[in-house]
Amino acid sequence: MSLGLPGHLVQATLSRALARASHWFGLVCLAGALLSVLALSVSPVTDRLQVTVAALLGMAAMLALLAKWRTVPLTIAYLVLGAVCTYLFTGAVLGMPGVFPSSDMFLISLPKMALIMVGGAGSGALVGVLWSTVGFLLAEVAATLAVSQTAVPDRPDVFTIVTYLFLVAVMLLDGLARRHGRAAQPAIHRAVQDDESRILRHDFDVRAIALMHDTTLNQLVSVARAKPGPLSRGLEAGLRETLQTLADRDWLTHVDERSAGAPASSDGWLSSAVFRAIDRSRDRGLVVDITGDKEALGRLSPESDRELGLAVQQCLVNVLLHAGIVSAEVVIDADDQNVSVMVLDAGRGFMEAETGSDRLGLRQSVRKRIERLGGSVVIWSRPGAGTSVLLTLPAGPAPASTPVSSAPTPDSTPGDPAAPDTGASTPSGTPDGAVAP
Amino acid sequence: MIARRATQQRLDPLGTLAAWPLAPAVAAFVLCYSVIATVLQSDQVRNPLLATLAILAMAAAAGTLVIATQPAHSPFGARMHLIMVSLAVFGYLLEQLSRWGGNLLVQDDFGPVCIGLLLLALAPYRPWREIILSGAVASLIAVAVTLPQAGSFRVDVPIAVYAIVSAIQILAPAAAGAAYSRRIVQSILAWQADARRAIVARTEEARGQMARAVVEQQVTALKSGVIPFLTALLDKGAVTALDIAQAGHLAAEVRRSLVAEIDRTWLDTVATRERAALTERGTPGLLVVADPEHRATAFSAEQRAATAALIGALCAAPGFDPHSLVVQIAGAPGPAAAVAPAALRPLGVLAAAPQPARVDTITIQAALDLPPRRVRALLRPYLGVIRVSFANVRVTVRRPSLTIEFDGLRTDARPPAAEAPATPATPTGVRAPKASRQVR
Repeated sequence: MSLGLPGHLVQATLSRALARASHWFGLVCLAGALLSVLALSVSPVTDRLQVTVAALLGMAAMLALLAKWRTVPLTIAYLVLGAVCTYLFTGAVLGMPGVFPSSDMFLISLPKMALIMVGGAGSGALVGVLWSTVGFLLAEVAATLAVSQTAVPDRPDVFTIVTYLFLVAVMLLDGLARRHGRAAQPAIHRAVQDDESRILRHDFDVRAIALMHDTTLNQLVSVARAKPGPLSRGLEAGLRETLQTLADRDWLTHVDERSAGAPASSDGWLSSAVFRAIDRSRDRGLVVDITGDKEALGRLSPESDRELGLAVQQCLVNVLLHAGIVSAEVVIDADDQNVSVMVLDAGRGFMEAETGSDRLGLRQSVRKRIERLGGSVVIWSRPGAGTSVLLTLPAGPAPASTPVSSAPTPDSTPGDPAAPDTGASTPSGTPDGAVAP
Repeated sequence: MIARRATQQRLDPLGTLAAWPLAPAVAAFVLCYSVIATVLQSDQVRNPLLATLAILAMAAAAGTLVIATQPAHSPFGARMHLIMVSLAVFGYLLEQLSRWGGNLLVQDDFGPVCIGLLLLALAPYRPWREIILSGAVASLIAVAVTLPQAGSFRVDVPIAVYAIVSAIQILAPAAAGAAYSRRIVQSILAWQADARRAIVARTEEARGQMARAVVEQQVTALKSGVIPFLTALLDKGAVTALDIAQAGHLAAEVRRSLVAEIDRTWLDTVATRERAALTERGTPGLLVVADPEHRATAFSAEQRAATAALIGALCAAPGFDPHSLVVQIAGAPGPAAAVAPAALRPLGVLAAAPQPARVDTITIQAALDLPPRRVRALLRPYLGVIRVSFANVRVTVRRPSLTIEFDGLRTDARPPAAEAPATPATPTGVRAPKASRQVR
């Protein structure tokens, strides 16, 4: 994902990450120092080593605290304790008679480097540099003091100095050099935002197109296939309904399902959109037989209910337009997870493969709708053998009469309906696609 | 992206661009230090040839770091990581061999320090687990190489202390690098989650308005023809042959516009918007999108945003010729299919045959009247983002023409060729697979 850090967060975030890195560097150094002291203690040397172990443990504990809470008091406490520890450690290790030739030992640098890696409170690059500088100075002073009390010659400690310079360079680079490319960050961010809007807009477009198809296009096609003369009852009802839908604000709620209120209902069947869809088709002159568990429709969420209703309506419209028959059967079935509706007709049937690829009906109005909600669509049809369309949608638990939000488990396989036998199954489904020209 | 494999470079390519000078700096330091350490301690070196090879290996490791961190090679892959660490460890082993028996101190050997620094430099580029794991393995090797040399060391302390010194020189910077990588990735992921939420919230706010606009647009389109026609029909109460003909005509028209609309992809929308922006700036232009197979629909959100941002940047660039932009998406079968000889493939694409991953090649061409250096500087941040979302980014600048190509790999099992005949209601398919647009 390309949503990088925006300008105002960069400084604080980098500062935190650098502090975390410093703390781990310091902790590893202290662990090394501790192990070394323990290793040195094995051979009988000085008692001061024991004190040093305690001091190192204290310093490490303080650093761990600082890593957790980067506050000014803890930073100061760590610096003070670290300086004392450095003093003890340097004195104890170099105080071992005749072991170390000079003070510029990596071993001696360990607590000093840990002290530089203070990663103190605050989020500016300069603040970080300041804390590290204080740590560096304290470490050098403590070590110099300790060395002066031993017989070992004092030499500049290259490791500590280089570490300090490196840390400062990194902090300044990360803090100050992040100028270029800044203009791009908001542009990327905007692109992500625009993309989000585009996707939503596209979603709306798709739904609007499905609705357009349901209403306008279907209506025009039925007019185009009508016989000259007075309007039939079905055609007239259809025209009225189409014009009403287009004039209605309902359109909006169909395009944006969230602006639709949840229809509260007591009777799952009568208030379901499937019922209304069937009712509407009956107005247009289709004879529809309904069997099965009608109440199960009440288990659908409002959105699933509405979309299922529109899909069933499209299937019934297909029967009217393409099947060459005016009767259809609707079978409603349900199990624990799914509600399914099968629309059967005994009409003309079609070959799926022969339908034009530019046809929208089944594609948009049925399949797309149902699959968007995690359901599935299965179609059986053959020319002359009718068509069956099985729509399955995930639904809430069985006893609930209240609508439950659909948990989209993709593709719950529909309970296998007996493959439609030639007679009963139906041709409705030609999505508008199957129509002969 | 899976959080455990996330790196700052992948999550925040722009931020990482800013940190890239660190890598050459570390590489230069590593190189200088290994040379200087070898020269200063030449009295300890027993085998000058091995010592030279050690420096060369270390230099190669440093070179690998520089190359792999180049913005043009982003993202920094696991292979480069492995090569770099292996070279560095190899250099270290050679160094130890070259002074075997004559090594007086461990702390002035350049190997451990260089390995540690190289690992530290990986912090913005590699996942923290891999950094710390490399550090742990390298320090184990360091311990193993240090222990047998006990006889030659000058300072009389337990050998464990030498082992600790060599291991700490690797482990401390590696731990710091890993801690940085982990922390920064966490922070960026947290910010991205917040930002996503904010974007979704803002989009939600615009939701109602957008739905209204969509409805408005559809209804307006109908108001000129369909609605008056249907109203007149209802008023008349009868259908004439003329009406029937007109209904067929209108249906064809509506269907055509619906199909066209369904076929629009986000890329068309981006082009439309940029065109509008150009017009607004007073330089109306011509942006061409050539994506006949609608491959753009398969892009991920990240890829869409990155591409849109790049196109936006090009259009807004100084010296941009508003008539020059062409965005083209062409496809090629993926590497798997390319391997299979064409003759062995079944005639006609059978849907049952497993579909290889497909590669979409996006080509963006534009004319930009700027010196090539400025073009590259201008596009660097956007290409940085493109590089983490796409593979194989190629940029050709020949003033004034500019060509950017990149590949999007996808593994969806449903190429358009197979989906069309399968069912009239293609599940993926909001869009009609091209061409056959006859309308009934």
